[in-house]
Amino acid sequence: MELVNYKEQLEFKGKGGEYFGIVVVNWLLTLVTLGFYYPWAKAKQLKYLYGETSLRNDPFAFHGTGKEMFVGFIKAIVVFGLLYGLFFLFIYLGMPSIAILVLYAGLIAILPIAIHGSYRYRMSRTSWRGIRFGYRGNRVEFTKKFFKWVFFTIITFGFYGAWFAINVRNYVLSNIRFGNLKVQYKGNGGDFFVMNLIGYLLSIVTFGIYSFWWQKNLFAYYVDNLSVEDGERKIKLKSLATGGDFFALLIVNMLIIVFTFGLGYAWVVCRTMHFIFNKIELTGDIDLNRISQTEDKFTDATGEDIGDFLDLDLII
Amino acid sequence: MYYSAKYFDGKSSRSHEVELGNFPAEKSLSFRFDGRSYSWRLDQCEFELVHKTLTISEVNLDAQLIVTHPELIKSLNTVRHKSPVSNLYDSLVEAGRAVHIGLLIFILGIILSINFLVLPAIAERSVFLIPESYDKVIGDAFFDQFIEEEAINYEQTELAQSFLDELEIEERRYFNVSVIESDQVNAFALPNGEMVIYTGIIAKMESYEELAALLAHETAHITNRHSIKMLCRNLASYLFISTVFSDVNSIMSVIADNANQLQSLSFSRELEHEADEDGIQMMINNQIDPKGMAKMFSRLNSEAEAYIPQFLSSHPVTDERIAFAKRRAEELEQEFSEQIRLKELFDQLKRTE
Repeated sequence: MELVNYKEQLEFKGKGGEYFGIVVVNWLLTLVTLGFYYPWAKAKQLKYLYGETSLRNDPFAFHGTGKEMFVGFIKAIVVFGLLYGLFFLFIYLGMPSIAILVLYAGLIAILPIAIHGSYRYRMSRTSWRGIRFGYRGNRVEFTKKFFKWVFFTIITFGFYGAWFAINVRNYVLSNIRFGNLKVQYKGNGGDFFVMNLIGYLLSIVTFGIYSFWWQKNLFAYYVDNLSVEDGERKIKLKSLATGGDFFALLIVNMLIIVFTFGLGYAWVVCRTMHFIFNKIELTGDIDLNRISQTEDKFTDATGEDIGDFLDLDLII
Repeated sequence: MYYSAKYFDGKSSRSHEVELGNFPAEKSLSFRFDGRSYSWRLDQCEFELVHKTLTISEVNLDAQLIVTHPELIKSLNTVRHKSPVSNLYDSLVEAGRAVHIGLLIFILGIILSINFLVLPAIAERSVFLIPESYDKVIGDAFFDQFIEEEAINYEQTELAQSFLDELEIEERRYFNVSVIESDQVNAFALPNGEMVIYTGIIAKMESYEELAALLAHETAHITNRHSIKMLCRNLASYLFISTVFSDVNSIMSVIADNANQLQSLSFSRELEHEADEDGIQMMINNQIDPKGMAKMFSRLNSEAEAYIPQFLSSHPVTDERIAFAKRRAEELEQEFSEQIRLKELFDQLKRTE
């Protein structure tokens, strides 16, 4: 059966007011439980955001539970407790430089493991029409590559940073599966470096006005290089956002945050989600009715929570 | 009664329409698909309600049913809420804007009252957990770095030190004073017993009682470990606020920040009061007229109209404090003889200007 190329769009139907309700109740419970409710709160929020995102009118789903993430949360606390314990031990022993070295080395060592664990968990708990996502990256391989890139970044005084960021993205995103579909990201550190250099310089010259167009280029670079493949068949993603769109989005988001003292957070999240999905167009010939189940269930949420502590946002 | 639902078999992404049948005694869900009848036991199902869409997953299969019919969702509510807690959660989420705003105000109220009422008291009381050797470490670190960049007035330093040595202070700790060449009307004390006085503040003083009052006040800050108390307080507050707003990273920077700003660390009203009271007591013990305290404050305060001297920004002088110092001095009805040695040293100090 030959399928004609179709255009498709993801849709986000969440409303700030509804999400606010969830966020406020979560804040309350997190406060009265002295923070221990946090994993459950996060699960509820993710379930809402996923559930309000749909493709062909069928919602995505997040199946992670507070209990799974609580175990991860405790493990993350232990890991960070040990790390900071060592840090303060060396400070106490009067060796502040070793303390700082240990802390940074520890944080860098945790990073790839956190990214890996976080993707593995998050993807395995995400589904659409009952078909699970999955992450097939190899932890040892990724960690080795990660350290190599960190090393290059250090010896080039940070110049390799652009290649580093894109290499991580290439590796991680290209290891995502959606049933039998394979996600591909094909970025290039050189292009990314030049884009950021131009963006940086023009933003300075234009007193920051260009930064919205820089943002638009970054978004397009993240989206346009992303595709989903099934053998010969393909779905390509394309950004439709303009610099003006980003200007409107970010300025209004900032005004909401400033004038509500941050309490308008829920509306900002929903506006942004709505914007992102609205500005991505899918074109391709993969039959969305024939994706088959291939990925296993997986329930270790440690990476997810270490990611939170390090303030890592998932790179999608 | 039949409800239509979407069925996904967990093997492919194809969507199927099914009719959900009456569930006998609310124990199971039954439907026909592909010529076969299925019956899912409700206690083997997981339910996920997002907005108005209920996803039902059979735990042993990968299969899912998606239900949007409000009546069916409602009738499954009792099965879904295995515990009263999850029921309460849903009713709170669905309770509407007014309740949510009420909750928000309640949350903010709790956060603010913990931050301003509970934490400071706990933090100040937990100061005894920090060994006194820490006072010295943190004070030394700051002082060494600070003094490097300042011009010391050695002549005045020596006279001020002799003045300080004349005073009896009920504490074994060694106090040291340095006079710094600067127009700033400022003075501060470090937890390691080092006091720094700017030439600007000496220039404003007209009697030895005022200098004695300043030193007495500053030594009281040190002996009562006020700097460490304020560090604990600021840190506790920051730890709390950043934990609440989950901003763990910047906690470390606050420790560093506070340690770098020992000289402008603002004391709370209670701590200032304590330092005033102890300072006055110390003056009395040394046979110095405590009116000097009130005099020093009013002089600094009248200056403040034109510009705010740095001393006041870290030691806010309120009319209340001046009134307190005055009252304490008047209550005494005690005559103080002139302290000749102190007066002599003060006059010498003034002559070197």
